[in-house]
Amino acid sequence: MEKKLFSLTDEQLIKEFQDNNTLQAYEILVKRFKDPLMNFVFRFVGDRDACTDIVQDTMIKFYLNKDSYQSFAKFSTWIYTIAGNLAKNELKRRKRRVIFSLSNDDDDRTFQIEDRAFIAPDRAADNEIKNRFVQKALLRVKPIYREVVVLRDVEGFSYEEISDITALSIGTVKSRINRGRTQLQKLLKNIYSN
Amino acid sequence: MEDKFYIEEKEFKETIDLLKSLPKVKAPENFEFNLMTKIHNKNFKSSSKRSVFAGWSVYLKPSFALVASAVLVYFLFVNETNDFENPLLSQPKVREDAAFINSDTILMQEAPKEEIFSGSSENAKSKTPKPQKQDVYKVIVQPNDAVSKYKLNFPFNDGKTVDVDKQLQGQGIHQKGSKYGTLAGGGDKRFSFEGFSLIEKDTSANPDSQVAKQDSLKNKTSKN
Repeated sequence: MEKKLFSLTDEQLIKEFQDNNTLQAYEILVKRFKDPLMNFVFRFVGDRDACTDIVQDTMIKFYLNKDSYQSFAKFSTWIYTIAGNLAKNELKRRKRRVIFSLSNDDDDRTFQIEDRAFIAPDRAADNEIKNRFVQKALLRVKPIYREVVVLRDVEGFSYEEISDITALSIGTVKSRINRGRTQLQKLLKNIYSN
Repeated sequence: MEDKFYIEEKEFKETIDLLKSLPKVKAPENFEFNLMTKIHNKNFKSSSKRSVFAGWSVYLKPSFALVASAVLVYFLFVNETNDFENPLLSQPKVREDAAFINSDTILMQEAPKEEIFSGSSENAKSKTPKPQKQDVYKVIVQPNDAVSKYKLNFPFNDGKTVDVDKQLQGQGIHQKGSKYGTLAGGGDKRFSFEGFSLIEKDTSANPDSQVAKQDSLKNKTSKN
């Protein structure tokens, strides 16, 4: 039975979960999507702990609201939409916390990039450091652009899929991706020369 | 159109390559265990920290600060003069001008100026002047013998004022018009007790009784 479930597509698994409340189908979907969602949310939010919580919440929402999924949509776009919305809520909450926080000791400090790092690109020689700079630069891109850039260039979704996930027109998606990439390119210009 | 975006993707090739080369982040090992535990325990509370007022904090915090400062200002400045005394335990309120009265203070009541009547005495009788409000002056002799005299507003409401002498003599205390004065504690609680005032009688009829006092005042004034 379980072997048979593993061979099913995402849409077939959710259908099985919806119709028969098969918990194994749900678990298989969790296994398939936990890592891609973690990667997406981490690149979007930038905090590993918050990212784990968001993906857990996404899976719980999926469990509780399985019937709101409609079979004409791709399961991946549906679950990415949930995760994206929760991630955006988290970013909004952080923004409020930064405004009203008296002790400015939030994790948001990690969003800042030292400009010195870009002036001295030799520091970025190591891959790990370079990745960290790329992540920090990504977090400096405006969230509305960042989301689509991550979906396109990190997760590899098509424009149509991104349009479904974000509920934006394809033209808006392409425009936002372009702007996001431009911002990112400016931030990363010193890394290229290395 | 597709070509245009293909060209743009070539333009950002380095950026795209950098993003694609980023390591994939994986879920923690206990991710599924924690999730399934939550589901089995029906613990569907959101993992992310969220307070009840999270959505309202934007509006609540400034308004709370405003209310707090208003309360602070009220207690610091506005409420400064409020003394909450037990009216049963406190002494009767002493009027400020009454407090000035000491042994060296004399309240003088100026007689109303008599009108000069021409013609017969009958006319004069018929033209008896109506009683006027009498001016009350306070004369204060300071310890350095300085004498000052100034006009006082009649301290109490005429309608509430009682002539104690008349009251003790058993005469009526009917004041002006239909208004009645009431002695404090006399059974009628319509008016609150405000204090006593010493009023010297009209001395125009018997000026000799005041001669000594006026001479003394003149002497003191001339010394100054």
